[in-house]
Amino acid sequence: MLGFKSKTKKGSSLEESLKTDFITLSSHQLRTPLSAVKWFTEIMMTQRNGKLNQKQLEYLREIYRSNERAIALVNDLLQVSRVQEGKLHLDLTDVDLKSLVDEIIDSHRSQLTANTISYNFQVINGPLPKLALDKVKIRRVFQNLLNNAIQYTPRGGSVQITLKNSPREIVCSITDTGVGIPADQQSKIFDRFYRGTNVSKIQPDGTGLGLYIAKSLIEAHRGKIWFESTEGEGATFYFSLPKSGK
Amino acid sequence: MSMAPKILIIEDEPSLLKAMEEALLVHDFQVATAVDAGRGMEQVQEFKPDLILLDIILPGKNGFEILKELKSSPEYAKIPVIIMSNLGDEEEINQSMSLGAADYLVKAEYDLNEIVNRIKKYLPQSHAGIQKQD
Repeated sequence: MLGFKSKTKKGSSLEESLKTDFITLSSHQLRTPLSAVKWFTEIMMTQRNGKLNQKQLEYLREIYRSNERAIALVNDLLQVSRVQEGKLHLDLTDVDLKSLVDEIIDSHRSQLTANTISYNFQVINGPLPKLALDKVKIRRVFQNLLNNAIQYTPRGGSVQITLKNSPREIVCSITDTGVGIPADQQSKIFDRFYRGTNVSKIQPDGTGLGLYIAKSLIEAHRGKIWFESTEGEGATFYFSLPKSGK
Repeated sequence: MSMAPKILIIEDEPSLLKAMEEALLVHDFQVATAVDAGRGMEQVQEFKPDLILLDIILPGKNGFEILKELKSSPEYAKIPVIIMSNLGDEEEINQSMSLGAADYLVKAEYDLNEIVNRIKKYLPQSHAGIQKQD
């Protein structure tokens, strides 16, 4: 089926190649019906083909949301498969981290406002040099960490983002005043599919893959990711990106 | 007065084709469709699209081969081609862009409205400003 793909992977075994094709094929086969559900739900919600009552609209929104969760899960699983196969390819370009963070905060502004969470973004020892990074993947890391900070911070709390310039690296931190991570679970939170007991109650839909993916993506850039947290008081997640690039 | 922009969709999945066609017709585009490379290339000649939405996995010739053919033709090389696929690996994205695609969209990640906006972005200047909705 996917015979058109010209594989040039050095030393890749037949088994690896089959596995890769299986994942590619699965992603395609799953995403196609999910796309159809997404688009037809969207068309129905416009009510161009007939007016819907409130219940019908509400149920359509539920279908749409559930479908979006399924799409996100497929995306996460694909990312995990790529990581596990060492197939993570970095498309490096010169990235201005400050602009990237501005852009990400902008896209989360309505979510922050809706949850009445105040936020602050600070650059320490700026201006920051551009770093050779895979912008899409670093954006993903920021989004995963910022989503967690917003989801697990009660209304009225705050989120602080900083970018600190130091001689060899730039360290990013995201601090929240949320539920924090219980001490006995702190060693496991970067594990694949692991979900903390307190966050599972707040956000039952999580996959337990966000932090695992963030760690993989940062390590692929030869950076480090870590956190400090006290249960009930919040958490700070840090990641460093070396200036030497990959 | 300019004519409505002409969009050709080459997509073999009937449900996705139907949804895309409906979204484009609502925005007053002229739309032609094809479910494989053969019909797709015929439509390029007959319909003379201003922009092509092209799937990758198709029966017979795949999207990469179609893209290569279009970009090597003096007559059609300038038509913007947006790859619309549910394959989202960097390999496919890089291959598409190096073959001359204007953009690459993973279908499951885009609303129809976003796709329409993306189409407007790549339409030739002669059609700029025609579609004002959204």
